[in-house]
Amino acid sequence: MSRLFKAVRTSTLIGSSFALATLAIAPMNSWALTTTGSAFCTNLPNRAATINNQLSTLIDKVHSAWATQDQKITADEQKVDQEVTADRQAADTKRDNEFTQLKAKATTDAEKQAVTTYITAVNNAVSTRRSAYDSARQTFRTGLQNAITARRDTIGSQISTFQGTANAALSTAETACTSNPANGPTIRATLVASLKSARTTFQGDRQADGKLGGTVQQLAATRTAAFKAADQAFQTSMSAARAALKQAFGSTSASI
Amino acid sequence: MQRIKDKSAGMALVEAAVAVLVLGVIVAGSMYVINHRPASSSSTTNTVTAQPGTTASIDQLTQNDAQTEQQASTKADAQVQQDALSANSATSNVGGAYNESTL
Repeated sequence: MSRLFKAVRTSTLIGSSFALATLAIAPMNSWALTTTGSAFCTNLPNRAATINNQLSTLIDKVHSAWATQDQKITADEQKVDQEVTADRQAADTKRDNEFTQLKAKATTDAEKQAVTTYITAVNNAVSTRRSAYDSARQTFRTGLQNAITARRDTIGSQISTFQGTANAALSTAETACTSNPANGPTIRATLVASLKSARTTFQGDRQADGKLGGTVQQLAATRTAAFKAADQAFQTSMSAARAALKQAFGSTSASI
Repeated sequence: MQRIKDKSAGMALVEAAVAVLVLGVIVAGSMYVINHRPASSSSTTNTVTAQPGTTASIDQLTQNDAQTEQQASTKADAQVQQDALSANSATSNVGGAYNESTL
C-alpha cells in the first residue's frame, strides 16, 4: 500500500513538473497566435499607438544626440584653437627675445640691415606657415562637418523609411481588422512580418554608422600632409633668410 | 658510501649558490639598463638648447612652435573621432522601438 502510494505520489510530482516546465518554456508567440482574431484586432489600436509613441520618442532622442554631438565637436575645436593661440603667443614672445639678442650682435649698418631683413623674413615665414596650418585645420573641420551632415541626412532618410513602413503596416493591419475582425491571426502574421522586415532593414543600415571614424582618420591624414608641406616651405624660407644673414656677417657669422 | 653522499650534497649546494649569483647578476644588469635608459624622444617640450640670440636657436624655437601646434590638433583627434560617433547609440536605439513578436 505504502509502495503504491509512493508510486502515485512520484508520478504526480513528475507530471506536475513536466506541466510547469512546458508552461515556462512555451513561447509567448504561441500564446499570441492562439488568441482570437478579434482580441488581436481589439488591442491593435492601442498597440499601434504605443509603437508610434516609442518611435517618436526615440527619434527625438536621435535629434537630441545630434545637438549634443554638435556641442561636443565645437568644444573640441575651441580647445584646439585656445591651445594654438596660447602656443603662438608664447612662441612670439620667445622669438622677440631672440631677435633682441640677435640685434645686439649687429655692429655695422650692413649687419643691422641684414638682421632687420632676417627678422622680417622669419616673421613672414612663421605667418605663412601658421596660415597654412589654419587652412589645414579648417579643411579638416569642414570635411568632418560635411561628413556628419551627409551621415545625418542618410540616417534621417532611413528613419523616415523605417517609421513610414511601420506606420503603413500598422494602418494596413487596422484597416484589415476593421474589414474582417475574425481574420486576426492572418492579419497579425502579415503585420509581424512587415514590422520585422522594416526593423531588420533599419538595423542592417546601422553597420555604416561606424564609417565616420574612418573619415576622421582620413581627414587627419590629409591635414598632417598639409602640415608637412607647410613645414617644408617654412624650412626653405628659413634657410634662405639664415644664409643671407650669415653672408652679411661674414667672418663673424659663427656668432649668429 | 656515506662520503659520496656528502660530496653530492656539497656539489648541489655549490651549484645552487652559483645559480643564485648568476640570477643576481642578470637582475642587477637589467635594473641598470632600465634606470639608465635614455628618455623617450616623443616628448616635445618647448625648450631651446641652442645658444640664445642665434639663428640656430630661432630655428629651434620656430620648429618647436610648429610641432606644438601640430600636436594640439593631433591629440584632439581621438576625442573628435569619439564625438563623431557619439550619436550612434541613439540611432541604433530607434531599431528597438518595438518587438513585433510580442504583438
